[in-house]
Amino acid sequence: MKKSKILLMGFILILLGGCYKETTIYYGEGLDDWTSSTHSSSAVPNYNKVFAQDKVNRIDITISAENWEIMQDDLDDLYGSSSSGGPGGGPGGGGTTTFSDETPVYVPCNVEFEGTNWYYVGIRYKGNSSLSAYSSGVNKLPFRLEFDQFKDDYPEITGQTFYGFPALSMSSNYNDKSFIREKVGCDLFREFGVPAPETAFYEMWIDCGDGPVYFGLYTAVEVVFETTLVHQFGSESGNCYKPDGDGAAWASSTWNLSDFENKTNGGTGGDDIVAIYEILHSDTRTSNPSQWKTDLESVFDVDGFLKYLAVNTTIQNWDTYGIMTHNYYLYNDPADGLMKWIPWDNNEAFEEGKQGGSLSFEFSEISSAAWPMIGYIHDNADYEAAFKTHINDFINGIFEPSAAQNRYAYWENLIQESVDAETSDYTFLNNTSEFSSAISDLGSHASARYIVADAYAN
Amino acid sequence: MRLINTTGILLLLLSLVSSSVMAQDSYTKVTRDLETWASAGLKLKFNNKFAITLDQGLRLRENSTTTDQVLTDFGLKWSPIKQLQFGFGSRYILDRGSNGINDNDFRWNLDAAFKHEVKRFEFKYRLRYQNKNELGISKAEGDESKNYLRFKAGVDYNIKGIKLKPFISTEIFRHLSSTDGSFDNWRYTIGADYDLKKFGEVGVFYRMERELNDPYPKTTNIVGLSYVFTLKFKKDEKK
Repeated sequence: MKKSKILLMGFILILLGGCYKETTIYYGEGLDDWTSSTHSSSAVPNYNKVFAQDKVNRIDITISAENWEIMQDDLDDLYGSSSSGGPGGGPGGGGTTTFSDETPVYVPCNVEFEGTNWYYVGIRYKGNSSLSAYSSGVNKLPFRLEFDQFKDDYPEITGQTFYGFPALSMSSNYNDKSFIREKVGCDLFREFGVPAPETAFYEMWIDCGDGPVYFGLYTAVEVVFETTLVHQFGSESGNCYKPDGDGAAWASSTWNLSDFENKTNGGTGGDDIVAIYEILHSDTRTSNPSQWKTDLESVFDVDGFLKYLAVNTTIQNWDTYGIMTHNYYLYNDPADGLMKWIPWDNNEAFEEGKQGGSLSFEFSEISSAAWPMIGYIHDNADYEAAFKTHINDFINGIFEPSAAQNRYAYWENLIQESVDAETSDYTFLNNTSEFSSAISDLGSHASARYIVADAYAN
Repeated sequence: MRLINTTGILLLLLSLVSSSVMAQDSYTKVTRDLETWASAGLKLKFNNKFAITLDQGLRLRENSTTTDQVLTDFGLKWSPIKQLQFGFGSRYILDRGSNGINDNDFRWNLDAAFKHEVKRFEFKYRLRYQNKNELGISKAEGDESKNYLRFKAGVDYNIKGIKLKPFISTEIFRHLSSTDGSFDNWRYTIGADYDLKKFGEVGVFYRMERELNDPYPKTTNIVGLSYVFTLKFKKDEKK
C-alpha cells in the first residue's frame, strides 16, 4: 500500500512537472550587436549606409571550414568539378560548366560590417553565366546573402535585416573588366525614370577557415522583390514576376504562364499577365491600332517600357529580353494598376555583346512574332516616335558622351584601389592596366553610341 | 479631472501600441505540454496470420483541455511466421490547429516488425515508413507530403499468473527530407495492457516525446488509454 502511494505520488509529480509551458523568444536575444535600426525587420532601409555612392564599403564574411566545404561540394554537384577544386586554383584551368535549375545550398555565416556583426546569415552562390568562372578556377563568384535564412535553426535572428535590407545580391562583376557596368546600368535606368535596383561597391573578404581572404571588388545589388518595390513604387502588395524561360519571350509559339514566377504573392503568371498577352497578340493591333494602344496602355506601362527600351538599346544591354528570355522583372503597380518593366543584371551591357550581338535601334535582327513585346510595340508608328523621343532625351541628357565619361571617371577613381588589390585567384583581370583600358573603352562606347542613336532618332 | 482622464487614455493607447510593436519582435512557442490520448478499436482476427483493425482516437492538448486531433485508423496485418509481421495502415486526421481552424490530413504507413521471446520477455522491433498529406491542398498550393522513417524497439513482460502485461518502448523519427540526416523526435513509453478475455483488452501508458535538433525543443508528456475488442473468426492454432 505504501509502495503504491509512493508510485502514485511520483506519477502525479511527473504530470505536474509536465504541464503546459510557453517560451517567448525575443528576436536579437543574446546577440550583442543587434539593434532595431541595424538588424530588425522594422528597420527603415538605410540606403545611404548600404548603398553608399561616395566610397567602397568593406564586408567581412566568416564561414566555418565545414560549411565552406558543403558549399563547394554542392557547387561540384550542380555544375561539375572545378579544375582547382575550390579556393587556391588559378585562372585558365579546365573543367566544364553546365547551368543548373537547382538553387545552390545556403550555409550560415557571420557578416561583419563597420565593426558590427550579423548572425547566422544565409550565404549561397548565385547566378548562371557568372558562375561559369568556377569552371575556369577563378574563385570570385557571385553570392547571395539572406539575413534570416536560418531563422528556423536560430529563432533569435527571425526578421534579421542588414540596415533594413533582408537580402543582398553580391555581383562578382563577371566578364566586366571595368567593374562598373552593373552599377552604371542600374543608375542610368533609374535616373532616366525606369525603376531599377540600387547598387554599391563592396570589397568582399571571406574567412573560410584560414583567415580573411580578399575575394575582390563586388557590386551589391538590391533585391528587387524585397525593398526596391516599396522604395520606388511605395508598395509591395502587387504581383512581382520574375519571367525566366521560353514563356518569357511572350511569343505565341512558346507561351506558358509557368515561366512567370510570382515573387511577392506566390504561384506563377496570373490574370494580369494573361491580360497583357491577349492584348499584345490581339487582332486589333493591325485592324484598329488606336484601340489596341488604348487597350494595351490600360494594363501595361507602355511609355515606361519605351523608356527602358531606349536606354537598354542605347547602352547595348544584350543579356535580356530580345535576345535572352530572362533578366527582367514585372511589377503590377497597385497605384495605377499598370504592369511596370524592371531591368535586372546589367553586367554585360555597354558592349557589342554575345549571342549575335546587341540589337540595333531598328530591331531588324529579330522577328516581331518571336519577341512581340519589342516587335509589336516598335512596329506601331506612335510608339516608335515616342521611342525616338526617349532616345534623344537620353543621349542628350544623362548619357551625353561627356556626361557619361565624367560618370565613368568618377567610379574609376573611387574603385581604383580596390581593383588594384585583387589577386590572381580572385580576379577576371590578367593585369591591372586592363581596368583603365576597359574604362577608356566605355568612354569611346558612349561617343560611338551617341552617333548611332542620333542617326536613328533624328 | 478631464486632463487626467485624457492623459490616462493616451497612456493606455501608447501602451497598447508599444505592446503591439513589441509583439513583432518576439514569438512564442509551446515547449511543454501534458496531453491525453484515448482510443477504442475493433480487431478482426481471421487466423494467426491475418487481421484487420479499426480504431477511433481522440487527442487532447494544452493540459488535456483542448481537442488536438480526432483520428480514424484502418489497418491490415499479416504474419507469415510468428516472429515476423508486415502491416499497412491508413489514418484520417481531423487536426485542430493552434488558430482553432481544422485541417483534414491523411496518413498512410507501411510496417515491418520482428519479435522474439526470451523467457517471459518479448522483444519487439518495428520499422515504419509514413507519409502524411493535407487533404484538399495541392502541392502547388504549398502542401508538401511529410515522409518519415520511424524505428521502434520495445519489450513486454508476461507476469506469471497475472493478466497484466507491462511494457516499455522507445521510438525515433527521421524526416526523409532532412538534409543533414538528423532525427526529429524521440519517444519513450511505459505502460501496461490488461487482458479482459472475452471483453477485450485495456491499456494504459505514459509517454514522453521530445523534439530533437530544435533550438527550443518541445517536450510532450502523454497519458494514454486504449481499449481493443477482438473478434476471432477462427480459434487460435497452437504454434
